[in-house]
Amino acid sequence: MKKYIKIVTLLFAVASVGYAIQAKAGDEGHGGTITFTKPVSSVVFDHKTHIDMGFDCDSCHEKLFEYKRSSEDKADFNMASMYAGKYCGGCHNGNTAFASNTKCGSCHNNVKSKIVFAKPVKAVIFDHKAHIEMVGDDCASCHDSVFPSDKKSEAQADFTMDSLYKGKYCGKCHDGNMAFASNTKCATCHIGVKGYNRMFKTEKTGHKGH
Amino acid sequence: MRIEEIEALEKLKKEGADNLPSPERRKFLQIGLVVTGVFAGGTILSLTAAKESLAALDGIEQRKFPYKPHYAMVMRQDKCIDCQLCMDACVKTNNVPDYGYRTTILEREVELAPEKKFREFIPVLCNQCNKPPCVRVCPTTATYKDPKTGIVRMEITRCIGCKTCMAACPYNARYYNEDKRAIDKCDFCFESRLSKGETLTACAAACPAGVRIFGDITDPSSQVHKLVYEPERVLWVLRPETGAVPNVFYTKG
Repeated sequence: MKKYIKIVTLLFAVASVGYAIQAKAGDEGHGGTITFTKPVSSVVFDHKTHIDMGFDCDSCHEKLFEYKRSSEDKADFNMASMYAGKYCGGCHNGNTAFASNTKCGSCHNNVKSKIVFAKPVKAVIFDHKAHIEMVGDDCASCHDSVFPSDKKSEAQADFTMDSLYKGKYCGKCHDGNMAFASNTKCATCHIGVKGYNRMFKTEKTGHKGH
Repeated sequence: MRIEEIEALEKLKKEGADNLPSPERRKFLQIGLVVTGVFAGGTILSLTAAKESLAALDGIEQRKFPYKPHYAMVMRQDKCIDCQLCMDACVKTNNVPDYGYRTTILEREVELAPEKKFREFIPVLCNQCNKPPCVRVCPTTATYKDPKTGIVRMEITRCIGCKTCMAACPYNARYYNEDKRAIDKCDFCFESRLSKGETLTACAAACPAGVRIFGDITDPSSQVHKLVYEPERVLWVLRPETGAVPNVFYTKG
């Protein structure tokens, strides 16, 4: 009886491993889901969806994309290239598939829900999700006129409160009309060093017993 | 200590246990300093209207001040964003170890209505009280009111590390410095800056948001004086009920 149980267990184990391998191979077979991290970390591409539409490997590889995952390391992997028919723009041109400059959220569906700026002071929180809910699918209300996607605002010398008061960056809307003025309710966006530490690391305030 | 000094001390009015913060209140304040948003609950922060808090400061209504210059700080509290540049500057300027602080920033979340909260940051430091409980309780006169500026200073060679002043301070503004083997505290940067000709404390100089306004309250042209005496401006002090008569004021806007 014991021997029988052992054999059954063994068979079951072998079967499960075999199934797992097969499943994995299946995913790899069509490339799985790719989450691009550059130049922005928000685009998810699902191989299966595209294959199910009737495309095969040759439709894209290697004239639009190399088999090797390399697109995001290329300097021209941006929206401008797509508008020029490169990368996703090979099909997403308004004929074969919806144009690259429409339906942003269909591909950019993994936007960070919260962005935390640490410069020039620690730290400012921007709730991307809450703002997207306010403007709907209209990414253009901020991108790229107010916040260019290819530039990190934090790295700009003029990413300061003074610029905001002049209507730049957040100040475009936070002017006292469309949204509360930039020179009011400071701590709504400024979460401080304490807020930053809560989000990114275990509390280290220098106080004992904590 | 000379006999006369001891006799003079003995003549002082007895403090009595009533004047010391209760253990609960003290514990509460300590919680407030390390954990965020916990120090609500009335007695820690008593907000009073301008008139009452001004009444708490001896002679301020008559515009009489015990010292000249009489250093004070006004915190434009709602502008504080907890960037902690003040704390960094203080640590650097006054060699403050990481287990202590001369100034820190408290945080609390105030619930205005369900689902409607606002966060505020409250910078704190030694209030350089006109009636400092720490000075009253110090058995060796190691901590004293500077006779000229009114700053509560330390003579560390006299400090025996008994920590009585730490217990007496209503503002938790003192810590034991293991290197100095003495209590250390904010002296409005007197030793590190003011005595060397600087006009601002390190924290006030470092603040990018114009929160910490420092100056001589007896000087009508100083921003501190202007803010304190601006008609209709609401000012308050922390824990006025202790009767310590602090020289750090809080305001908004």
